[in-house]
Amino acid sequence: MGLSIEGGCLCGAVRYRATAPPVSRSICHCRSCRRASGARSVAWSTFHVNNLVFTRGMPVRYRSSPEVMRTFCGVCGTQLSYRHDEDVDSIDITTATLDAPEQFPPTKEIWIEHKLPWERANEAMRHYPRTSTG
Amino acid sequence: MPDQPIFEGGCLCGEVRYRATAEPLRGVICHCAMCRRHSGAPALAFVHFPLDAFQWLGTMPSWFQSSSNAARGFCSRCGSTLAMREDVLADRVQVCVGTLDEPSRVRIDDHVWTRSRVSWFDTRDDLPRFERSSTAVASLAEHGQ
Repeated sequence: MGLSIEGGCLCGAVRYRATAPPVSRSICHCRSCRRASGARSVAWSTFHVNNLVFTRGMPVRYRSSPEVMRTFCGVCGTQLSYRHDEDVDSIDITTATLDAPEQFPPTKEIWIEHKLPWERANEAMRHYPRTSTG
Repeated sequence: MPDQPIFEGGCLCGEVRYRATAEPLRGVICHCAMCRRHSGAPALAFVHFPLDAFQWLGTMPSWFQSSSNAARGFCSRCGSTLAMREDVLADRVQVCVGTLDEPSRVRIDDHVWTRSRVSWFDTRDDLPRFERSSTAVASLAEHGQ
């Protein structure tokens, strides 16, 4: 009863809560995620959209491609979420903004096509050249 | 004369751009909790450019004062995580490697703050690892949590 997975941005202006575990967990190597995070790759936890609520503040939205909406904290800039218009049931949350990211290890790596040559993929995970559903 | 190196980069939406005209002083992968939270990524890689060989082009990033002696730069339009400034490293700009146009051109020297590393994320390379800040930098008070 009352499962609660919480997280938020670096400054605390935006907080969120999930009431069910993520349905999938991945590391994305795509160029857009790299550019937005500044990191080499980004870990995402995918939740059913009905199980995820913002409990404090609202993130700023940025449409990074015609069908993709990313959000971030307008105060500190933390990258928070990703939604694709064709996947209306899902919202991806940056795993590193969860308060307990160690509890949500990724199981797959996607967009290996864009991976930096000096970042090694983890052989224990499933790998996909692009998305894992396409 | 050797050609002057040029490194350019910017945010996802293109609002903030930058150019460096020197080789990076250093490259580092930081595993600290603040870098992780700010980027949303398991670890954040930086290269350090000398301040006098670095310029922002067009719109300036927004700066969030993340501790008493450090600020983190991001694009206010798309939120891209761009850079960090620290009082103890006032001679340089720390640029997030993922925002470089050609991130594969730069070299990473070591890992820092591995004591904060998220357990499932390990890059499995042979680079030196430091539990806290690197011995290459005297004092990085930003990460002292």
